[in-house]
Amino acid sequence: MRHEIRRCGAALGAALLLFVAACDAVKNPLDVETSSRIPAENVETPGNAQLLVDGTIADFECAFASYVVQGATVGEEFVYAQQTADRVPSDRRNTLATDPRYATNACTGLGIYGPLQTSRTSAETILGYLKVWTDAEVSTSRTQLTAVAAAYAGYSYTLLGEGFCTLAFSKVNLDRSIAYGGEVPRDSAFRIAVSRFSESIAASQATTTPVSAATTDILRMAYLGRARAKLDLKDYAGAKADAQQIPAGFLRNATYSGTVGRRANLVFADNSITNNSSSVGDPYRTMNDPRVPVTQGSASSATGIRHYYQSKYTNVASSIPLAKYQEAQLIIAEADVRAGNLAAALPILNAERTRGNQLPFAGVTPAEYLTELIDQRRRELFLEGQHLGDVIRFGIQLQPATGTSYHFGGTYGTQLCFPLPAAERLNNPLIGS
Amino acid sequence: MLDDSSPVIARDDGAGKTLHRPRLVALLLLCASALAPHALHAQSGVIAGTVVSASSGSPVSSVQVLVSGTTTGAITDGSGRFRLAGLTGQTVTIDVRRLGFRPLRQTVRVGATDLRLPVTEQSVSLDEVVITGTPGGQARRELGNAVTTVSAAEVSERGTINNVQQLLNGRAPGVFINPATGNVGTGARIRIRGASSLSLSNEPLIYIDGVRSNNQAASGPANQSFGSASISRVNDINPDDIESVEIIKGPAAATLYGTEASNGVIQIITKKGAAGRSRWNFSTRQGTNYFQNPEGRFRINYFPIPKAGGVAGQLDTVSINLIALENARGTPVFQRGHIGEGDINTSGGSDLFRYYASAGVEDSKGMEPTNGVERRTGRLNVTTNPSPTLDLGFNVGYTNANITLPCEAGCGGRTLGVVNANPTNLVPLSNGQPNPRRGFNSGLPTQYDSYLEFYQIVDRFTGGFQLNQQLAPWFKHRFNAGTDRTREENSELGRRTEDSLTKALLGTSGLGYRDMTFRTINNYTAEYSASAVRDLPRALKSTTSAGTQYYRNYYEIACASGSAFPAVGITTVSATTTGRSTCQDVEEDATVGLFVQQQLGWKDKLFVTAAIRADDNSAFGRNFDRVYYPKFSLSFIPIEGSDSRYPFLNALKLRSAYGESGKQPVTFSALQTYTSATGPGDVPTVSLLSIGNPNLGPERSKEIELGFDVGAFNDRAGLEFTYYRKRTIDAILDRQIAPSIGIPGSQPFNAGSVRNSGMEMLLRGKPLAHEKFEWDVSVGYSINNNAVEDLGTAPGILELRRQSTCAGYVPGTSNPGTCPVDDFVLASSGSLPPRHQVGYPIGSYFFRKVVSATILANGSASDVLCADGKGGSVACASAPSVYIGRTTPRVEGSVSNTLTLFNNFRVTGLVDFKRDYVKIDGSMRFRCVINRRCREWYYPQDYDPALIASLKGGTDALPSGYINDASFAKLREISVAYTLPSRFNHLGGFSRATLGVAGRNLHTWTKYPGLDPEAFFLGGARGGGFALFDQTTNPQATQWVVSLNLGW
Repeated sequence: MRHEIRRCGAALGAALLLFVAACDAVKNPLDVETSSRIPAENVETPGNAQLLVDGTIADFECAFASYVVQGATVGEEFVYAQQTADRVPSDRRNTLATDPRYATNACTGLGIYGPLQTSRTSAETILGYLKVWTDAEVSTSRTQLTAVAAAYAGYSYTLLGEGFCTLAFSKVNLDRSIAYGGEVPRDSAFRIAVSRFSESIAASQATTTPVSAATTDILRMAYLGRARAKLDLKDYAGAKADAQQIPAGFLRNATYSGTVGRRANLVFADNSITNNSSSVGDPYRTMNDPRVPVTQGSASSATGIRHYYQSKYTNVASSIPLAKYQEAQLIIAEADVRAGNLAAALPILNAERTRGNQLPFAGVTPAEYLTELIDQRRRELFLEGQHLGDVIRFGIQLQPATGTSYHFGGTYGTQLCFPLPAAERLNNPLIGS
Repeated sequence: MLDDSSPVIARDDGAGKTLHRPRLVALLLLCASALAPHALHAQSGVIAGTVVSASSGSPVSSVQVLVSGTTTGAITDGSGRFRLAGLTGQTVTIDVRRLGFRPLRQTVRVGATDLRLPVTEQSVSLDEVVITGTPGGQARRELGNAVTTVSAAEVSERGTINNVQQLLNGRAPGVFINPATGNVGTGARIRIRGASSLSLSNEPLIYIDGVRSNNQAASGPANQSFGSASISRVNDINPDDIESVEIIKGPAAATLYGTEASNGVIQIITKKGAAGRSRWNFSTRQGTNYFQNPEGRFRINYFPIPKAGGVAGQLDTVSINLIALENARGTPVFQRGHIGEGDINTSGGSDLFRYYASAGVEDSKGMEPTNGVERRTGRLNVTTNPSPTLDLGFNVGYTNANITLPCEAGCGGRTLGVVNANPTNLVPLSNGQPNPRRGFNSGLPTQYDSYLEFYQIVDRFTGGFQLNQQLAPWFKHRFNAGTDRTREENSELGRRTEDSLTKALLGTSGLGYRDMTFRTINNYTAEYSASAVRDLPRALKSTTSAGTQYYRNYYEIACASGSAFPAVGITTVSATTTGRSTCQDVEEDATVGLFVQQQLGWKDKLFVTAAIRADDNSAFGRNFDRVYYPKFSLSFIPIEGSDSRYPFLNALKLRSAYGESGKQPVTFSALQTYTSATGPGDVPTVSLLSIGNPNLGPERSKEIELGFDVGAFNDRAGLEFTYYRKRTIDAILDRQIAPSIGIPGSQPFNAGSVRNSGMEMLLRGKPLAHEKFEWDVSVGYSINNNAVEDLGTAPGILELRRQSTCAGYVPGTSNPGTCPVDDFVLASSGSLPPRHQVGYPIGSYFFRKVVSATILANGSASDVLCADGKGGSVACASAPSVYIGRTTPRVEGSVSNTLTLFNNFRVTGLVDFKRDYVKIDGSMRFRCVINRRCREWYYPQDYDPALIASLKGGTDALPSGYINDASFAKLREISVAYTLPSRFNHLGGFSRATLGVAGRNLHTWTKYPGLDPEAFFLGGARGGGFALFDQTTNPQATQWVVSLNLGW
């Protein structure tokens, strides 16, 4: 009997041994195909550095196009003309934190907070890796990639700062843990933007010779981006200094195409001869300025709103200027006006007026100069994602005025900057509800 | 009533006699097998005949027939036949025995060769072996949990069922089968012991001969807009090929099945061959199915039209009974669809090699001409015994089907067209011509029939291999491997039409469109287990089992779609001219599991079992290593056979079990992922897609089960009773992540908790048992109480919203395409979603509930008050959403009666019922609230003011008036079967011939005001895991068939 019990025990022991041994050997059979969703650990490798930087640009360009439309809707560039209820608040200037459209929609659905945060995060992610990876591991110039990613990170922060009342910047660490960021004022975004642009400039300048045209382009983009951020921080001298680095003819575009929806110029998709989700706002309809090409269309039978459409962008593949020489000149002019150096600003303003088929500027007081500067900015930078920031920065009184009846009910409100979304407030442990 | 010429001289059913132990029975079987061939050749006194089931009349194979007190005997073959030779004397007494049946002792005349020996199933079968995950299964006496077995062969022979889900309905307490539409080829939602997962599938696992199989409850083309995907994969299996179905109901029993098994397991066991000569069986079912009494069930529609002879602007309310109108003009709206099925199978073999082979065809039409099923099935099961201790089995099954579906909930479906019949569409045209729409909602159904075509073509192969070997008297092991492979082609075709009226109806859609979706679903199974049995001192017996299992699932989708054909007759996607798109995606997941089980038995009366299972799964987070599921069970049999202390009891088994199992997260949900994107210059690149959760683990369900099985009154009554309490913890939920993290979407996490508790009861009895008259009755009853205990976050409410991570699904789109329904467990109508709320049943409806109102002279509702949730009322504008009802029945049951007359004539009836749940009557919503064609709208004074306030409160603003109690009882099945006496069989050369007539869905008792309390959207945006939404869905069809079964 003892022998039998031993055999029974041996059987049990063998089974347990099998159990334990197999427990330690089960990992390989669990490898599965993930062909459509790419695990982060598979793609975040040195060999994919260029891919990730391209992804950062793609994220930014889609978010930027969405921001241009939403910014135009809050400002007076666009009037919303259809009946989709969740687009009304931004046009009526009474956006609530709980409105999902601006907060959590994808960029193709005209979301801006989430998409700009994604653009920022993807840039920060690759910047973090580029600090860890070595030149030997990264096939493309590591400094050049750093310059590009940092420049787009800077623009993401800049747009978030210009468009939102307050913000939060959380991050996923390289070990996949989450580091939440608390609620911060807009200036914090501009300061981080200045930092990222500076990082980009440093990286471009560190790029070994021969310096390519692309590197130079990124360098100038970063200078102008930093100038814009400094302008937002009221560092006019610093802004002017950076803007002076921009040569005539410089233009850095956000590029688009008709291949996929995420690459579409959303401004054209929202307002054009064939798209009437929005109509161009009243102040821009009859400027007779080649920089603001607008045509009158027919009235909508559904809403009664007449369709005014822009032709600055002629198809979904049209590029949207992100940074250009004229913007730099206007930054210099603003710095001069702010500094009381009106004479220095005058040639720039007149050059702009010439571009708009306007007569030379005849103003004399600093206030008249500032008003003219604002007008030239809204013309020159029409539908380029600058006006909302200008409205807030300059305190521009929008048309129609606050309290005026809104065409889909209610009255125009006072909400210009987008509030920190409720989705952020409710789900960020560092921010109280 | 026996006379001297009868071969049967005397009969003793052996009631009260001690049952033979399995070991002794096996020994006798072996002896009988060894002796029988010699006897056949050596002697001349012969008896022969057939052993049949007393309840169904069908042959019973593997029955031991022994001459009492000798070793002379035989085993019945697949036809239930036996033959004993070498007998002496005028009469001989024989003992007839088989596990699960009451022993029969009978004295017969030597020389009788057409004996018919009916054996009766035991009320409590303690020695029946059921599949549990251990080698060779386990006898029921050893189990501490309930396992329900449905004898498919017996049911399918009655001719009342069309598919596997109908086989299960009403035959297994605690198993809820909710059929969705009445179209042929469509399926049902299955819930075992309620729903326990908040966000994952609640469908049970399906195994076919030990191979894990495709269990998707809803597939198919998007034929019904928000109610698409109405085909269930479990119905691919031909019920005629199934021997039995075993249902393991919860974690207490399913622990050894591990992760994914917390919703229960359905084991489908197909027929196998038995040793003996070739046996052929042919069966056919021919009949009809139809919409029962449509004229009496559709409600009459009303609408104001210009008053004849009145002044301009004066209106008159007119009504329409479209069914009556169409009947009168000789164009009935619905048709009688033909039901046609044919099956042929053969089985037989020897002790070395046995086989079962079958082929089946089905060609059935539904109540709409665009609905039909053409199905072809085949199966080959082979079993060989190269040595007495080695058993090898090969099973392959194949199904090919083409299922065409009508558009029920839109695009001119007949039920939609009649529910929303429009009196204004009867008004003659301005030129005096009759209105071509004839009162239908939009166009004529025949116009849509010619324009639309929705179908699914499916090819499915299931194959498996099993090895069972007794390596030593105390050691056996088992290897099992197989695959289940499904290929679906789902097509939606809108033809280009040049018919002017159709074009006018369809607008640009009249240019045509095509949407093709191809899906591949492969399931792979590999299992190994071993078991060692040893006798220990003090009458103890130890059984140690251990095993490992590996499962792998592969899912691939490819699609192509486009719009606007350039000309009539062109129907391919490549010929479309606009909106062309394609997709392709792959998902995979895998599970590895190991278990060890130790059982101690004492005198075959007491069994204590402990087991543990460990699982790892590809979808677990990387910080989640593996999961362990423990199990304990106790089975005690204080009474078995005669006991002078309890003379009325034959058997009593007390059982209890505790076990755990789980539910794996959705594929990829633990991973932080990127997706492909297009970058600057249209270069390929990537973009952040999801954050994942590295700590994500499975949902865990813990269940305790207590119950007893009783056999009483000479095995004429049996009762199985089970109480269960199941708690699911770590339920997976999705939370919105802070957008500042910069990764889109939400994050799955383990937090929620759900409780299910209830009881199941199955009573079987034989109130009358005479020589030529028997009455068998079976009553099933179950209660499921269900509540969400925790949702992980305040305020304890989760509105179910549309979401999916399934391949090919574009978030935010309204059409789910052919995403598996499992991925849409949260899906529901965007406007009337169910909700998970702490303290209430999972997936219930919560809305503002009108409690009172006043109807003004102009017909509008005033002073509308809603429930305030505290027992009072409040103005509806500020009223909270209150609990309206649960969407899964709380009570379910059935009553089945079988009368057997003269051993050959059987009448069977089944009534099943479901209670305590509610359903959205979307037809009322559509017809009355949106289209304003109901009488309530124009004669509100005749109705409850609260109902009027609900109907006139605006679309979905106050829906309580059209969410109704869906409790019902249904006369589900009636069958009459007559087995020809064996003396007539020689006329056709048959060994057995049965003729039957069967009806299905014959009458419904319900207060539900819609067409059918059962109809609802199985898949699509208004279907999914919880929603119970019926909008112009075809009701369950009434069916009558004539069946013929021939065996030879």
